[in-house]
Amino acid sequence: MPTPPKESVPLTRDAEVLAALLAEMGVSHVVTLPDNTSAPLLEAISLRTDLRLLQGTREGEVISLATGLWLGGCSPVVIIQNTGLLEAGDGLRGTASRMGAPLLMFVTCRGYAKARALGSEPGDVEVTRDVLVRSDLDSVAHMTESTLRAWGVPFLFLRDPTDLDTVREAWKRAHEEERPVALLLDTSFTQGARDHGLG
Amino acid sequence: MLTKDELLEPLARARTDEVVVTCMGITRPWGRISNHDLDFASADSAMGHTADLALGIALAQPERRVICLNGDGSMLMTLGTLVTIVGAEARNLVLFVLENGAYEITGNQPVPGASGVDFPGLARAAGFPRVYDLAFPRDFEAVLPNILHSEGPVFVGVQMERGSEGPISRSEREEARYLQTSLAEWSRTFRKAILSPTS
Repeated sequence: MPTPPKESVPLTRDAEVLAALLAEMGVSHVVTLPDNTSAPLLEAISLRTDLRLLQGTREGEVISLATGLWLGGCSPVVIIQNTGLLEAGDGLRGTASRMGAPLLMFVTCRGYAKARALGSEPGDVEVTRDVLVRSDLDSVAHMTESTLRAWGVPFLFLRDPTDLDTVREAWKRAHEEERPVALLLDTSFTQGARDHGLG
Repeated sequence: MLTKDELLEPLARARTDEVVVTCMGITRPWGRISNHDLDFASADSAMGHTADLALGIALAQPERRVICLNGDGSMLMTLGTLVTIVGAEARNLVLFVLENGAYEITGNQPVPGASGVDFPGLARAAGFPRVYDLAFPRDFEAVLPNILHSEGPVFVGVQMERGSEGPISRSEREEARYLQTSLAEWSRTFRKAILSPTS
């Protein structure tokens, strides 16, 4: 069967910087389902020989696979979208959370920009029927933080992809507390490092 | 069709330092004949997430054979994992799917498509390079050395008689040692064993 041509994904300097940090922290594997926000980061990771990129078919599978990697002695992270996080509920609860696995999960934030364009902070909005059915809102944005709280998963925001201290803090917290920690990627990989005073 | 004893006793005799991951109705019977720190019961965990957990262990430990004893009901919950296993090139993974056509733990209700699903055919279509379709004890014993020593990923579909195991707890009331502690505690026992240079 012919291999379909790979679509071109722009490689950005901020994605390269974050990928380099993952390797520096000792991450062994990145397990993922791609989305538009994470695409440049996954591209940067795929170009590194010191990180192994694995793709699953569903987010619950991604988290369980990553937990198996940890059971086998490796240090994986997960990169998924917030929609996929909702899908992964029992996979997360029954594997990484139940086993006390120090799993850092990068979760991209679909719908956040849309909510803010209408003047609301997604996590502050009550999930009413109106929020669920309105076409000008993306309901997943308003469920992400409350779902993580309900599932007992601590979370931090990464609002600048080169805010490496926040990434280190989330990684450290997952390992010290021996539990999954979510890092909400409330940002995009569109900037060169020079824009952040790096590089 | 094979009974659980006809499957497990030859496997236990042949097993040396392989990881064995069990699930649902096979968990107690395996724990009655095996007492090994490299046994892992995917019990009190996540529904349907046994094969992907085993895949993670296999990818973390490429020099060690990982045997996953999955149920047909569990496999149906994450059929995409067949594709993920092949895509990840897990050459040391042996995935058994024990086909009894029922959810044994909850009272032997039939799984969707019971007796009509061709699991070995699904595995072939997913790209497994080595697939076995077994229904008789003598056939299983004849091919067991090949199953355990061939380059994988290996898929083994086994027609099984239905059993009568009830719900599994994690408590001292359980006979199997790997069920006598919490999932978090056994995860650490398992990790210590798999990372030990002598295991």
